[in-house]
Parts: sequence; structure tokens; C-alpha cells
Amino acid sequence: MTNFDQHKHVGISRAILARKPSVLVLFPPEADGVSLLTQLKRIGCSVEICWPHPPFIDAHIDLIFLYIPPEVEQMDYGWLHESGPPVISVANFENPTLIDEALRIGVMAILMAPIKASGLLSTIITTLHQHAKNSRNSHRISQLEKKIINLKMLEEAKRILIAKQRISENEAYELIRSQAMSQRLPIEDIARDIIQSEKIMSKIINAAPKNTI
Amino acid sequence: MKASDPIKIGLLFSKQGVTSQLESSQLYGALFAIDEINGLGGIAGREIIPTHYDPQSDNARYKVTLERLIIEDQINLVFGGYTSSSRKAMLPIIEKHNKLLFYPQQYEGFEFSENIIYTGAAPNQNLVQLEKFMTANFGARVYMIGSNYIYPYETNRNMHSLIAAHPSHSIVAERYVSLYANRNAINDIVEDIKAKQPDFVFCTLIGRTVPYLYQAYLSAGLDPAKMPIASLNTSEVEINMMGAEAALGHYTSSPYFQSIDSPLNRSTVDRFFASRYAERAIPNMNWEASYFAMHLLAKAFRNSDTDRIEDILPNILGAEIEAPQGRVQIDHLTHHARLYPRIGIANAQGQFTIIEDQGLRVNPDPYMVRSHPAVARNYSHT
Repeated sequence: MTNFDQHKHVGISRAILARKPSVLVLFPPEADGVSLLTQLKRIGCSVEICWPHPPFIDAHIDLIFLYIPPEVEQMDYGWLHESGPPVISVANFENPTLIDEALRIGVMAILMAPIKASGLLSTIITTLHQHAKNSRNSHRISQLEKKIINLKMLEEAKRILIAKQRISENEAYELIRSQAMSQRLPIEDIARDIIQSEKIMSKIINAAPKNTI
Repeated sequence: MKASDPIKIGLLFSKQGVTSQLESSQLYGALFAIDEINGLGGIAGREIIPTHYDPQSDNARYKVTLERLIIEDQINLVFGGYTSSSRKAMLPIIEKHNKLLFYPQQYEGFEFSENIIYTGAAPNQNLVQLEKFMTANFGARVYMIGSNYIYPYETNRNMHSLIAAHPSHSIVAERYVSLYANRNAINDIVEDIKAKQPDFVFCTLIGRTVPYLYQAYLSAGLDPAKMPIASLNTSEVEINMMGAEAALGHYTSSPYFQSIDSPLNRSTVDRFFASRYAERAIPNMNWEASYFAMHLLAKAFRNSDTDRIEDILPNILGAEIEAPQGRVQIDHLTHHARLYPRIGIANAQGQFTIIEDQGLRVNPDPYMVRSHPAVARNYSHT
């Protein structure tokens, strides 16, 4: 007898389907897109089909199905954007050249044409789920990068103040903080100003003849 | 294939194993329909010859026997499957050989195959109605008990997401037992139900274990008027297995009950009980899904050149037929059937008293695209 804890993840697929994903299908008329289109409709997606490639992707699109032709021809992927929707590519057959081409474009999954109904739902849900997770992670990484840069700047600004004013680290921080408060600016802006003015100052001093000071 | 050749149809329903009694209802629903069709001169003069193998309620045997029907017997049209795991076992094989499978049983949804016609209820044709009825009349604290495989998992997941719309909802417990579980395993759960006192019990047990629950429930003195069991699959067959007393007062949601009081249903049931299969099966939802599917196939066949899927499928999609439950139709997009949701309460005669029947034919929505409250809300925003 088992007691499954099934419902811990009960909401993920449901939540993704409930959003009724907007899917853009970039398929030429000669590619067999009918089975893909009808299965997308069955599972509740709203579908738009487009060929040739559009110049840009509208913001409401959640997912793109991209047909990659077996003939390697230079396609215009101007619409590709790092922050754009995830792409699932569809190819007629499986070989390293086409796989590499798909990876170069940055697809999340590769399907073989003609599309079979079974398996499509899994691919769509994992793609949308992983894409959302990747977006959250990228956002978090850029926040962290910003934070590290700010910390480095604050350290640098404190070092300048400590050397100039012969004060303690805490006093230097307090100076920056109170300045930020009174000017209603973020601490890192004040730190940047201090570093900037120190740079200018040392440039002027270094450029001047030695005996003038 | 000559115009006078007989038409071969394969049947894969178990006569042995844990779901044999249910699959017998499907088998004899199909055979009874074949007798009727042949009795009226066959399909444009051609006799239907059924070939039946017994998969013994074993998923691996479904694969083997299906492949035998296709390769050795050269059969293009097959009726078969009761559990979802048996259907999932057959799906890749029927697709690989590009043959056509009729699956006459309600199931959890979230499936489509170009090579399958689904004639039982999708979750929006039985579960949605049952959830609404049970929460309106008893409350939204549900105790789930099911067999340990995909149909109960997915059906409970669906039930959970529907019932989550109620602020006071609670999944009191979610228990799974083997299809081969013994009475003791079920008795322990009934003790737990007694201790936890949910508003109702949602039973997705399948086959042999179904009577164990209802019988233990009765022995434990639990009162269905206060805390009933609700099911999508407990039918007249299971009631016959458990006895009318154990089933009395519990609810089932299904498009078909033997007690449907229409002239067509009464005459069909009467003819069945007068037929050579009268002692072999009990008309229930599976019997009817199998019976009307066979008549629908025969009707479609009259307009087809061959029994190959590419010839016959276009005549099946969109086809309508007067079934015992009402006039049903196969939906083009989903390959599922347009059916009539009903709710019955088991009575002292071992039959169901139908207490909800809006008389409306409901389009199948196997992916719950339009039928789920979360999705419906989303639709209204756009």
C-alpha cells in the first residue's frame, strides 16, 4: 500500500495550461504543420501561424514552434532575442548538423516531424516551466551581479574616505550613508560619485607640474 | 478485400484477472451488437467475424495479443481496453501499425491518438458533474481512495483541482492500493475513513477491490446518507459483485445507467437479456460504450471502401447514432464522444435511481481546456 504525496506538484501543469499559452508556429506551407496545429488546439493553446519569419515577436507570444528546413539556408533570425519566448524546433530528421543548428539558435527542445500527439503536451509543459525557471534564474544572477558591483564600489569609496579623512571604516560608511539619505540617492550612487571625483582629482594632480603643490 | 468478404474485428477484453467482470460487459456489449448487425444482414451483406483474445487483465498481454490480431490475423479494427494502463500499453502498437482502436471506457482524459476512438466519458462528462453534486450536497472535505495506477492518480489530481475552488475544501487523505489488494488493506482504510469523517469518499478503486470497500463500509456501520462514496466507475456490474445492500445510497456519475427510462434503452436491455449472452454480462456504462461503438462503426463502414483507417476514419469522425443513453456523436477534433452526463444513486434493487439528468449532450473536453474553473476564469479575461 502506498501513500503518495501526489499533490505537491499538482498545480504546475494545470497552471501552465490554464494560462492558455499563446503559441506562434513558424512553419512554411510545405511543412506538415497540421497535426501540430490541431494538437495545440486540443490542449487549449491559442495558435498563430506565420511564414516567412516575422521581423519581431509580439510580446504576448509565450512559445514558438520553429520549423528548421533540412536544406541549410541562411535564415534571418532577427526576431531571436535572449529575453524572448522559448523556442521548440521541428525538423524532418535527426542528425548532428541540424541539432547543432537548433542549438545555435538556442532552442529548448527538438521534435521530429510529423508531430505525434503523444509527447507534445509533455514537451510544451517542460519547455514553458524550464523557461520560466531560467528567466527567474537569469534575473536573479543579474541582481547578484549588480549587488557585487555595488559592494565593490562601496568598499572602494570607503577606502578613499578612510585615506583622505583618516577615519574608521564605520565612520566612512556612516558618511556615505548619511549623504545618501540627505540627497535621497541610493548608497551606490554616492559611492560612485566619490570614486569618480577621486579619479578626476588624481588625474588633475598627476597632470600638474610637481612643484605647484 | 471483396465486396462479399466478411469483416474481421478484433476484441481484446479480459475473461480472467482483476477486471474480468468489467471487461466482460464490454466484450458482450460488442458481441451483442455484432449479433444484431449480422442478424440484419451484416454490413451491406458482409458478415462481421469477431476474433477475441483474452489479455487476462495483464498489460503486457494486451500488447502481445494486439500485435497478434494485427500481424497474424490481419485485422485493422480492434475494440479493447478497460484500465488506462492497458490503453497506454496498446497506444504505441496501434499507432505503429496505423490501425484503429475503439476504447469503450470512461477514463482520466489528457490523451489523443489519431488511431483511437474513445466512446466512454471524458472527465468533463462525469467528474465535473460529480464534484459539483457532491460538494453542493455533502461538502468539500474529500477522502480519496484509489487503485495504484495512472487513472486514479490523474482523476484525483483533476478532482483536487476542481474542489480547490471551494474555500473550505480539504483532501482529508489520498490512499492508493494495489489492483490485487486483499480485504485487509481496504478494511484498514475504512477504519481510517471512520476516524477522519470526511464529507464524502471519492473512490477510484478498480475491478476486484471495489466491492471490498463498499462491503467494509457497510460492516463498519458508515451511513451513506451522511457520508457517501462517490465514483465514476462503480456500475451495475460492481453492485452485482458486492450485493445491493453494500451499494445502497452511494453515488456514481456516468452517461449510462441500465435504468435509463427511454424506449430505446428499455428495448435494448430487454433484447440483451433475451440474447444468447444474457447470462454472461450485465449492461452497464462499459457495455453501452462498447455496444454503441460497434453500431457506430457498422454505420460508418457502409460508406467506406475498405476497413483501413484512412478509408473508415473520415466516416467515423462526426458520425452520430442513437445510443441507449441518447443520440451520441464522435467529435472530429478530439476523437471522443458527445455524451449525456448523469448522476445515479444505488438503490435496493442493485440498480441506479437517476437523480440528475439535464438531458444535455456535452462535448468532450479531454484536456479540460474549457471545463476547468481555472481555465474558464482565464477565458473570461481574454
